[in-house]
Amino acid sequence: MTQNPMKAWTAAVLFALLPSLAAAAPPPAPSASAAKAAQAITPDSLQAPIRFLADDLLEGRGPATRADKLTQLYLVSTLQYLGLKPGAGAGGAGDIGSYIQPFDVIGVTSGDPDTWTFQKGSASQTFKYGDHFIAASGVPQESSGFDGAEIVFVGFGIQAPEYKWDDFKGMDLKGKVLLVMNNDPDWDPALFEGKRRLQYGRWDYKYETAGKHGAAGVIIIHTTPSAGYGWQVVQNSWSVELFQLADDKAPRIQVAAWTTEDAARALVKLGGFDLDTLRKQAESRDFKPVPLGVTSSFHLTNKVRHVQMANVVGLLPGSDPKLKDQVVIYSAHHDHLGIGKPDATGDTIYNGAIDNASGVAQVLAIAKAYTELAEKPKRSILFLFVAGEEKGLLGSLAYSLHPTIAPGRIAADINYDGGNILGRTSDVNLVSQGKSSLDKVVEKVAATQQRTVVGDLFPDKGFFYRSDQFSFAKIGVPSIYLHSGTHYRGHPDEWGREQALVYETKHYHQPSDQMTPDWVFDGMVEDARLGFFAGLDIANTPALPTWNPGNEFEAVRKAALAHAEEKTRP
Amino acid sequence: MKSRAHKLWPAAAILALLPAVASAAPDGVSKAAQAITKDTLQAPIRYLADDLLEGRGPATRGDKLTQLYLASTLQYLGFAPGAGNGSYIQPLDIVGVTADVPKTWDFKKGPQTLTLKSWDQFIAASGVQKDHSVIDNAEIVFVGYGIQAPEYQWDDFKKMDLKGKVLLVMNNDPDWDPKLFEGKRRLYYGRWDYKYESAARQGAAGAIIIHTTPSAGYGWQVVQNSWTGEQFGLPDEGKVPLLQVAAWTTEDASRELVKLGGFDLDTLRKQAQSRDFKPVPLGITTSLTLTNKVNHAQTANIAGLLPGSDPKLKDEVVIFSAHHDHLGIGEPDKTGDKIYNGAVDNAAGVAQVLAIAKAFSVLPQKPKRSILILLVAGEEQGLLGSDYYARHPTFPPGKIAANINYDGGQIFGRTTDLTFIGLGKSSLDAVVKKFAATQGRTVVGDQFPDKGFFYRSDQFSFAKIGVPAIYLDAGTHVRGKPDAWGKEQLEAWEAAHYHQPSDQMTPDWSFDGMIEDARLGFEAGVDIANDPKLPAWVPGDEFEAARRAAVGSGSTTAQ
Repeated sequence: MTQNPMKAWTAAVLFALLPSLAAAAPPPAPSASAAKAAQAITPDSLQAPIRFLADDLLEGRGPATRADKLTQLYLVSTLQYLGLKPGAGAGGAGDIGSYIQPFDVIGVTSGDPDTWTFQKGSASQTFKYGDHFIAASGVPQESSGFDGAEIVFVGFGIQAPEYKWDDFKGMDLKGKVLLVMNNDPDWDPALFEGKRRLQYGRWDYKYETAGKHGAAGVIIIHTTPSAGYGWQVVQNSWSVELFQLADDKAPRIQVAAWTTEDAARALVKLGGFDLDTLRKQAESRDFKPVPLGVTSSFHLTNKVRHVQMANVVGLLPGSDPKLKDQVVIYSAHHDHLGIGKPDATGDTIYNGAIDNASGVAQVLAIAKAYTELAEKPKRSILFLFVAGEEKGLLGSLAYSLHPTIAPGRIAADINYDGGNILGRTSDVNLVSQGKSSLDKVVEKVAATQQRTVVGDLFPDKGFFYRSDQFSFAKIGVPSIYLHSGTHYRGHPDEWGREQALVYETKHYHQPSDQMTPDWVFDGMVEDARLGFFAGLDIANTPALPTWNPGNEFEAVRKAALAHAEEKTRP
Repeated sequence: MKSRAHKLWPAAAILALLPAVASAAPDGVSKAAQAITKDTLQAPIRYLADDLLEGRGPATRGDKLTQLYLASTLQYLGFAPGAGNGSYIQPLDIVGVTADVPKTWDFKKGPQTLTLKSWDQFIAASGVQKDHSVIDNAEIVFVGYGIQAPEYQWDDFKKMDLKGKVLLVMNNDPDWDPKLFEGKRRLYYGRWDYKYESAARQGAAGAIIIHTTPSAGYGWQVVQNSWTGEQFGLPDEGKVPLLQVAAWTTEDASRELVKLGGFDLDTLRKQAQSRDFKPVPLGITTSLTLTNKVNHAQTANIAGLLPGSDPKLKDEVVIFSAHHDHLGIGEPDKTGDKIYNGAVDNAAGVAQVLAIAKAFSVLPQKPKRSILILLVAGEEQGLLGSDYYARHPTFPPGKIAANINYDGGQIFGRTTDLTFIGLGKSSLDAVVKKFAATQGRTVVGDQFPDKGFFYRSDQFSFAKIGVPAIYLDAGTHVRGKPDAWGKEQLEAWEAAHYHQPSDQMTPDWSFDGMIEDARLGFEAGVDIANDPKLPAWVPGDEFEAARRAAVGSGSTTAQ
């Protein structure tokens, strides 16, 4: 089956697609050795890890549970069985350690205050928890809050030099509570890539940026279009135990809050302003923060818990004496939601077969292919199974704070989150499209599978920032994050989208995310092989991948590369 | 150290010992054998012997996690489901029986009564999986060794009607004549399980084995510990006759018992040392009722298949086996540890078989016969998983070329020798010797032939259905160490860790010897799988008849 696509990969197609390479030698098609090794990626090698990880015995792989330990044990054992080396570096824990990168996490369950009152002179406005606002502690402390803090409307709350955008204009925000709009400017294709949500448009960016400016709190104004989901999702996501890394030294706000649009309207009205007018003002580079003349005191009593999670890491050393100091990382998160509320059938185990046993399985199948490769790749390959993704990308964030290889020597990250269980597709959904030179690599390999590459199908939802590749991008590492497309071979065009909707509404983050006999692995086999060939190409190409000029992560990459070079200089 | 050891073994010596060395493993096989490394061996032990696996007790969560891991790993390697039901899992029901034994047991002759005390003088267990085990006014008959062995023209029963009787029987088999039952070597006829089965075949209601330390190979306290508490077995399918009560007595108690009947134990035993012996009714009657708690549970064998490459020979199979169960959670030791991890027993055996499976998966030219990787359950409870497989084999027994079983593993380093339990029984000797020689090792037989180790792990279940078997045990002469060192280490390990919570993987383990043992099994297995001829028992072996029946006229490859 791999023979035919290879034939279809004619030199003419290559040259047409890749003008930049036309002058050099034609890009090598996968070598015979690589094509043979890719045969290790089969329905069996994919189904086997899912069988294990998504079994009820694994209790949904909730972080810091017995099942988490079992997951780690299985992954360590499987990496060693493959003959991969311990990859956690010097920070590894003890005997099984060197494959394990443990990290400390603090869980915070915020108290639910009934109300939140705002004052302007003698007038006041009181909001109800749940109906009008939600609030969570931003700091891992038993009490958090502020007294008499001033409320300032800061528009989008964005500072982006590459777009010459700064909503703060040097104003002192220390101790203030910032009222902020969600998303990023989306009306101009030249600004923040238009409709596409960049990291500037994510709630985590809003909170982090406010923290850097010493703000005491942030209130995000919820609207369904700007969030990408309804108010009830905010209610559910923020009323649970929230986790943060114990050694994350970034300054934090005391209180992270959201309000409904109506409550926000009432709040600014208390200060004598009109919400629509303020928002209109914010849609300009000239916008300046608007103190509302409103103050508030607010306190939360929190439950704080210290737990440990762990990434699992295996290394295949590279074959080139120089390039082996650089690495291509394959990542997939091994955690899921654990045991939770029963569904209609009484099932309480959130198995996470697709999310993300299937991602782990793809990386394990790829690892198997690498071990069967006759000629080892020039760069080293790191297989990284990260923890706590469902709790906010904790494991990949921990890795990015304590990388086992200097960020400037990480050639790329290829992340798997989810897997195709419906069959082969004629397209590839490259969520990371448009950001880096890796697009070309993916396009090249996809063409050998006779698949076309399309970008993120839901650019406004910001999926790029919602799985672990984002943690790598933050330290400058270009990444590939892809899914199968929606055009399933042998099915009508609409079928794929319908099926995706069924999964989203019925099984996503539900106990019913389980492996069933009707799963078709053909598409997952192709996606994993695509990642294998792409990673091998990156590992063997002398030049490192690069971000596209002007990309939001280009600056940090340059700094990382300079730093890595400095380190290697004699 | 490795190279020095090789230098010590001069080429001349190899040639002298090994005319067959040229026909050792072909290149592809030797290369595939390189997949067997410290990593591939340590990885499964790491998983299986972790406290999270809770000692892998049958029918527990640890058992389920073991099965799940094994099935997943076999599938990951690309092995096909091998349980014959489209799955990797061959489930089997097991039954646990806990007998409530009366404090005393009365024996009567006319007006006289002898009362024996439970635990101190007798041990009794239920032979049936029912609420009660009943002996009702049964007569006691002394039956000598209780052996029927046509190949030795030996029959202790002489067609006497023993139905409903309680048989008093000696342990072991005749050992004073090398031509009778292989002399000092304990054959199956000399095992307690044979005694009970043999008595049941006669329709007896019960059997009492007379314990002596020499004839059992262990003291009375081992009988006490092994035969109390819950006893597991396969469910009674009504196909095999069963005793109501399986018992042991101390030698002194037996002496009193026969004396009650007016006999002398030494005289009776003397009479039993002859082909002419006939059962002796003691003129004694007895009744005994046990009240039992019966517990039904399920465990499973795990099987993965690599189909053979030869259109005809692929219908035949070489089976690699190792038991995956251990003792579970039990009494705490002095440190308070109550998880019996079973790292050596038998995570190490499973690891060797999984490392061998990995080697098969990368073998460029697949073997002609099929390969079955079979990880059996409930060995510690009496070879239950292998016994079940033997009763429900996925290949006809006549098509099973050989069984290569791993129970335990070498953790002290490379050795110059290799213990082959079952040496001298089949044509497999030559295969093992050939590959041992390529490793510069000599093959020695069972070091404790009177202990009957061949009958104490899963290869025995295969032998019973006629399949020639290899059961390799660690050598004792560790390279680079004084001669006695290895045996000392082994004995010290057994005394301190065998069947204890401290049977755990520790950083001081050396995997070098285990690597060699696993590679040897792999190369032997490939050799057997590619040899046009099926292995055979040596003429006159106790299992030859079963093999003949199994191979029958259906096989085209049997010699």
